[in-house]
Amino acid sequence: MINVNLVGNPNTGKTTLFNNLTNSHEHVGNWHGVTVEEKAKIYDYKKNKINLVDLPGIYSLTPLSYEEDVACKYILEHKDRLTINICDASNIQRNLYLTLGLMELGCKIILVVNQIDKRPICKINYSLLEKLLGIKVVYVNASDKKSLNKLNDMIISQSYDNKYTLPYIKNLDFSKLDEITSIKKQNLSIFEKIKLIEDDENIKNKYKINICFNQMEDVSYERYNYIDFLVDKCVTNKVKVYGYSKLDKILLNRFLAFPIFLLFISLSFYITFFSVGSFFSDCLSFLLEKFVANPLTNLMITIFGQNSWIVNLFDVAIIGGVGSILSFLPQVALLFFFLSLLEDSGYLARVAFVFEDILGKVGLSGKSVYTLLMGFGCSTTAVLTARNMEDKNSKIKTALLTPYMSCSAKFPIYAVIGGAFFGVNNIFVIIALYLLGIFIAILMSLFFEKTFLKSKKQSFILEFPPYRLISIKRTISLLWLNIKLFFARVGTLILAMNIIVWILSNFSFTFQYVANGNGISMLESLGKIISPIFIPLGFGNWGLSAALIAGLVAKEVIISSISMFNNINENSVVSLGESLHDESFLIHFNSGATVLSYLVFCLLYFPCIATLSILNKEIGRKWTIIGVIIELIIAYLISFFVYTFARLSEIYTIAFVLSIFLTLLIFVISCVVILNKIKNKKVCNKCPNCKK
Amino acid sequence: MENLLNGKLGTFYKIHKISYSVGDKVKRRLLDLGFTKGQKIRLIGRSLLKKAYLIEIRGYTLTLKKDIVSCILVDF
Repeated sequence: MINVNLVGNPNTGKTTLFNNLTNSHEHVGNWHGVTVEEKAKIYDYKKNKINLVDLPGIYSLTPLSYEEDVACKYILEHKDRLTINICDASNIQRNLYLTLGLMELGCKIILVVNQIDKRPICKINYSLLEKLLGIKVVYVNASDKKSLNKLNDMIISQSYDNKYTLPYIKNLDFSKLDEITSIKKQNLSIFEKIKLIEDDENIKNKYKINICFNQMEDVSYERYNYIDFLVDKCVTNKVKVYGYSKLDKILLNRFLAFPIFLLFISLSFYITFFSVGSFFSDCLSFLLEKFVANPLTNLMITIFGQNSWIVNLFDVAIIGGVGSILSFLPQVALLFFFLSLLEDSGYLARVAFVFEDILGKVGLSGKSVYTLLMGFGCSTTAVLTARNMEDKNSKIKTALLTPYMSCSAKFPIYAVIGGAFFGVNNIFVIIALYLLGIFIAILMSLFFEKTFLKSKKQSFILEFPPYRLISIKRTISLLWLNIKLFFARVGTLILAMNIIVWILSNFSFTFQYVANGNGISMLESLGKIISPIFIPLGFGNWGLSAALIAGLVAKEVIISSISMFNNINENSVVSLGESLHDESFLIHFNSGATVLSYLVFCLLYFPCIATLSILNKEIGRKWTIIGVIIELIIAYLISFFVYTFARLSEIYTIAFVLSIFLTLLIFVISCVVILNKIKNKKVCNKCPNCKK
Repeated sequence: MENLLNGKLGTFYKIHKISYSVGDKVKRRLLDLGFTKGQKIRLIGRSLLKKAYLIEIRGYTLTLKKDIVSCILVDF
């Protein structure tokens, strides 16, 4: 078996190459830091087994952020392996810097020049480059499978070696280092020597050298000098700037950038949830009901009879529960599609730039935008992207804030429960809920920043990818992938949860079938224990409390559970909503205030189990527990506040309550401002050099 | 010798050096990215509150925070 490491600068197409070589579907995007951990897969080529390892992108062998650390450690541990160093043809100058680093390490290297753009902005003389560098050079288009055979042939030919020379090494001054090492009698490789005079902390600690060499400028100067020589000889027609385009003059205009982003986001949310998405969603639920649910239910009734528990299980848990979630397929698929569009077009990196101002103020970095935006799709995958952060505190903070974003699983809750009560006006409720999540996240970030998670200076160095049009082929494959993922989720996790909830809510502890009202089910007795806690929030009945617990596994289960407790036998959203208007539903929600408070609680109360386990892995148990406790407290407080506010508005007029609320708010804000002023004055008296 | 923040938008300057006040790690990263002595560099944009800057160097674009830009010393 041939072991191959895939190494390269960020956003040069490593994962695209990996996917096409191994026929995988790892997540790709047009920004820096999509891949955050190493991924390995074995594939066959002409009866050879090749083990390909995809690594996060790096600029040099000195890491700055977490995912770079993963890659660097891996490369250093497996430096005997064949290394495929992938370069972007349009930005070869900077990309070759890493190649030199790998050559200093003494890797066996194949340099793969990836021509992503159809019309590359420069011409490269590959044979001359190969001759000058002394390593194999091959050019491919990573997204075109046919062009990869060249590379595969080269991998199995094993004709590569590490017998090359780097002419600039003799220009480097090792005298200061040699003095120390000759005393200590340490034998260092050329890579270690260079890293030492570059003041690399890891290697300095390893050899217990704590002298500052101050030579890092010389090292990078010599490397780039050599690259300039190579580029001068091999590359022609280099005029255009990589990344920046004329479009940026408008999109990144100081004053327009922010409104343009908001416009894009609101438009895509509108399309996803309200116009196109909801149309397809209605169609799907109609079709499901007409051609799947009704015939199947009838069939079951003819086989088992009207009152059999099997029919009830099938009808309520499977058709009703799963069907109601399944009808959200178009909306969820569209949402993920728009998020991918944001990534693939190259706009996402620009968004980070636009948000650096605002997020910097609340103690985050522009880079957090990635994670928070992905949080609208799925918190679980979003939390992983927090690895992009350089500083540990910022990483923890970003990860903890992600669950406050309304993920795609929470939207069905808003749509079904809110839709049943507020009808057309539900659109405002949904918007308010999304904004509430963002608002709380900002507040929490400020809170963390001021208390125990103060972020260190973030360097915020972010490269701009070029804008790329998304192809039709990619659009279809993205949609298809998201549809498959959604089906897998509904078909396994949610189906299983629905069946469990059904069993718990239809059998007593003595395993007696209690659907006909002749006993208390397990869930009912459990729900009744915790439900008193929620009385101040307005939903102190066992059904809603039990649904919240079921929702810990997957948020969608909340709506299917509520519908189950009512024994509503329809599967579509509309009919479910209609039946929620029934007298029976008033058991659960007695007013609009209850609904609002319940929705707010669902938004804030707890990340799902999958997110929790990822959080635990990424930021440690301590912070996960703290984060969850804070979330529960916040959810309780905000829900209580919303409930009280809504109740009071029902009793008195909204204007009255609003004015009281605003007075309170102004009072609190002025208190904070005054306190701050007093605090600042004290600081100023202490230091005379203060600019104030 | 001036810091790049005082430079005009769209004009190329030559890098004199990266100040050590930016910290070892960030300084090394900037050098890795090609901010070497004598290299041509220019500002091409900034964000609303001027906290982040767009920079062109070695034929590519990247964005840096204000305090890093202020550590890039250029010859006027």
